[in-house]
Amino acid sequence: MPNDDEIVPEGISDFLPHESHGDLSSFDVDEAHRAMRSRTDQLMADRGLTPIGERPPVVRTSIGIIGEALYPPLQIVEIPPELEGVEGGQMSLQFFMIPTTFDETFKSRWQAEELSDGRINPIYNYGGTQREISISFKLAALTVQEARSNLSVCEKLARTVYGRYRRSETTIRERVRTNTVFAGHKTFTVDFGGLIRDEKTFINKFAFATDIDAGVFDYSSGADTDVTHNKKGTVLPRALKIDIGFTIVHDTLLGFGGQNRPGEPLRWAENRKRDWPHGTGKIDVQEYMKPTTEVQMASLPRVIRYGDEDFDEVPDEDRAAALVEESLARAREGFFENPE
Amino acid sequence: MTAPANMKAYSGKYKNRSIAGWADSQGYLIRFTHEPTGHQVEFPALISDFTDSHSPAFGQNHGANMHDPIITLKKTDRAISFVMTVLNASLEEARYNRQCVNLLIQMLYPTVSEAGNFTGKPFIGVHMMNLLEGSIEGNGVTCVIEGLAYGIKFDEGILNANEGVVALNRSGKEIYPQSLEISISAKAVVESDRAEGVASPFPVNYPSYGG
Repeated sequence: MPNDDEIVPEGISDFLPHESHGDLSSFDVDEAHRAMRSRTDQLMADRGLTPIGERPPVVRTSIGIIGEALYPPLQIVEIPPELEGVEGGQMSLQFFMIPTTFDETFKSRWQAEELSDGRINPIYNYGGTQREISISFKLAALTVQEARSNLSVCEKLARTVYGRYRRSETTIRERVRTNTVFAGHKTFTVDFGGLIRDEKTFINKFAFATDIDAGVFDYSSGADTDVTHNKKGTVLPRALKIDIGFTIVHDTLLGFGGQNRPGEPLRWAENRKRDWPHGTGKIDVQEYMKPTTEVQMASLPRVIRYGDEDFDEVPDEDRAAALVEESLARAREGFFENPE
Repeated sequence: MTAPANMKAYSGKYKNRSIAGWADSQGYLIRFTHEPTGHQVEFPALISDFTDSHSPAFGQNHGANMHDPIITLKKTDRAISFVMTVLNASLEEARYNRQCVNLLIQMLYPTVSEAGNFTGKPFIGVHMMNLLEGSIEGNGVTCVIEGLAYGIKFDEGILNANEGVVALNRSGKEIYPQSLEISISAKAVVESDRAEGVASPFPVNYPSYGG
């Protein structure tokens, strides 16, 4: 029985010509673009994000297919800012590449309290475990269009490590003054197959290098061809090396036991039928990972404040008695430590 | 309540082509135990760069007209580090090993109370043949794992759930390395054994390397 995390976004290859499609001459690139855009928009809508209507980068009809044949796509979608008036929240990237290394580190924060000389062990205090991921990959190009598209990917990735800003206007002595206010870092949802699964992250590094040994596409007057371009002074590398790093911010409680596992301190806290941190595909999860029934927490008493519709409503005696009985019943169920 | 997990080295359908078969027959196994929960996971001990260092920390005082310092031993720390390689010879083994590695990573997390507070600190017992056996019960050495690095070198090959270039990997999701390197750096919690008539708090055979 598969894990429930293997909801599979179909890749670009579904929209590209392949011998299994039969007559290749009938392949329509524009239709492929539209279909891919539609699919990406659907993925964004599924995540509660606003789809962007822009045209996708050039369909990678060469190296991209090899990348896709072997590896899942790297998908990076910016999470819109929570504050109003803050710019950003529009970046969405999904592309295939040739990964070279994937390094993930889990660092536990331990503090050792040293006591007297000669004590065998210090007292160890645990503070938490932090997860970071670093991926290196190559973007290769067989055509000029692909090289441009790769540089466009780098531009977008480079922008991810800069902060967000908002503009505010203040009026002093009838003069409007515009201020630029820093609004913190950008956050993203990142997905890379079973290794990174829709994790909320911020991007802690981005570096790209041109692989000059792989060569560049040269200038030639006239129109662009697959292997020459018509902009003098433009360098279009055939290969780019990219390093990107993510710090993961988990939305769920991590550890064993916890509020989602009442009476089950040995089970993984998330209580969802999926492995963590990495996906394991079509095999069932281990027993300690299996979901158990969650206990629904009682809703907290509502505080009626001045201005609320029912602020000055006095409940009649029967209603008041019913409310008291309801509170006591909840207390008896053990949701409050001090029922009185 | 569920029982603690006890994940042994891979012993599935393709064991004969896996390094797990050889490791099991030789007893070359490394076992991790999450002490707050008792969960256990075992891997073939394909170990490189094993280091077990015992580092004394001295205080030094320099007196007048003295060349050499007066030395006071403050403590002796024990740090362990090693690199473990996990090899996958089949898709089935890759999936199973990933679950094992997931459990190892999860061991870096504590037990949590229902109120969300950390309760059991994630001390991990490491048993690696006679090299990390422990001096008292032979159950391994309790460690404070400060860092675990999970590294994939894609050049060494991957396994995925589809048929590669011919069919294109439309599943897109499953990707497993043929070789996965896990680097672990830890501080050992030194065992003590307050036996009668013995002044030293250390077990008589501490540290034990099976010699």
